[in-house]
Amino acid sequence: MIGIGAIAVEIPAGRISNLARADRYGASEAFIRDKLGFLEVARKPPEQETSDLCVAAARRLFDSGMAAPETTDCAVVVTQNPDGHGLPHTSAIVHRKLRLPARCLTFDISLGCSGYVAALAAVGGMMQAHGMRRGLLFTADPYSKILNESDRDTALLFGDAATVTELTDAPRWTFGAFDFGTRGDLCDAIRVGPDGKLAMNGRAVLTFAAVSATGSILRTLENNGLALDQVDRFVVHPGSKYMVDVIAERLQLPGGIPFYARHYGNTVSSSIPLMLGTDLAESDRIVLIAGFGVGLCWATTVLRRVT
Amino acid sequence: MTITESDIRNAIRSAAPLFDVDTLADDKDFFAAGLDSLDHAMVLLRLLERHGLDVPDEHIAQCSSILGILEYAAKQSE
Repeated sequence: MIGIGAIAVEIPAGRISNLARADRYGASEAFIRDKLGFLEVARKPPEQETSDLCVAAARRLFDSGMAAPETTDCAVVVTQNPDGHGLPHTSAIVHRKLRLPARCLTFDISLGCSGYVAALAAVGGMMQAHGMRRGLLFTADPYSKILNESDRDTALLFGDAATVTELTDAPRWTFGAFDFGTRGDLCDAIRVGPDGKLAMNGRAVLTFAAVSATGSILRTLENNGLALDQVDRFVVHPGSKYMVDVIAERLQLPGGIPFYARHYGNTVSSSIPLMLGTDLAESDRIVLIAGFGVGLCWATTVLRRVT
Repeated sequence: MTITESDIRNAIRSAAPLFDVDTLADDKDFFAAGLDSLDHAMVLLRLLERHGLDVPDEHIAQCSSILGILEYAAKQSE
């Protein structure tokens, strides 16, 4: 069965302090700390391309000895901010830079914050169906390419990062049943406008997360035969601290849901693998992952540690 | 759909537990009183879920006080 073998991450060293610039946006320190939750956001250098972030993450994975480029059957990049103008696809550029084998399928997936979880299903299912043994699933959506830095609704939220997940037939984590969905009637709530800049209806996204993400988490638990208290860790997309807190409250989770993104920001499709790669404990056996955002789409599943 | 001042105060209390809703005047602007846009969004979500009051984005500015919400709700039920 195809599942997750290893995860490596690349967070650019550059940071912008939200606390230092709060005044400029008319935001209080309390609002930054307690509501947005992002004390600083990660920023790549302008010349660093999306594929470069992917390659940096892959180098860490290969250096760890957990995966090797020559045994890669497929390489998929989840992004809506590809290299250049999007043609060729970023995964082909990654393929060239990493010198992956010729018999390695590459394609990109255009999804935002739900992208990682949806891609686990899409790529994992494809690999299972076609006898592929090892794949690389990248997430890299550097929103700094499309941010209007004077827009309070977005500039304080988004950070740059990339991740790579090794999908393998000898996994350390397997997937459970998934729950997917789209509210296409709300697709304009997160969009790039004619000026090439990101625009977001924060109220629509927050309401969507409160209702649809919470519902998806509850359905996912039911579909996997689990109760809330059987989950060791909830890894919920950190749209903001407030959003995560609202979901925890609506789920009636007494301990809340941890918020890990304080020092790098909302990294879109990289947020969940980033937390999986850096914040899990050895004692975590069942982990629920929930992504939601652009589309407005959601994707949720449960990971089980292979013992 | 009938919404009362008490319903709105309960929605605020639920969405922003640390906010002093008991001393909030009916005509006081939420943002001037210290609520932020995130709290406001959750107040309106609670009113939608509990009382069926749907406030589209184009009417949200009108619903930034208890009185404003009561007036908006009254118009919707006419």
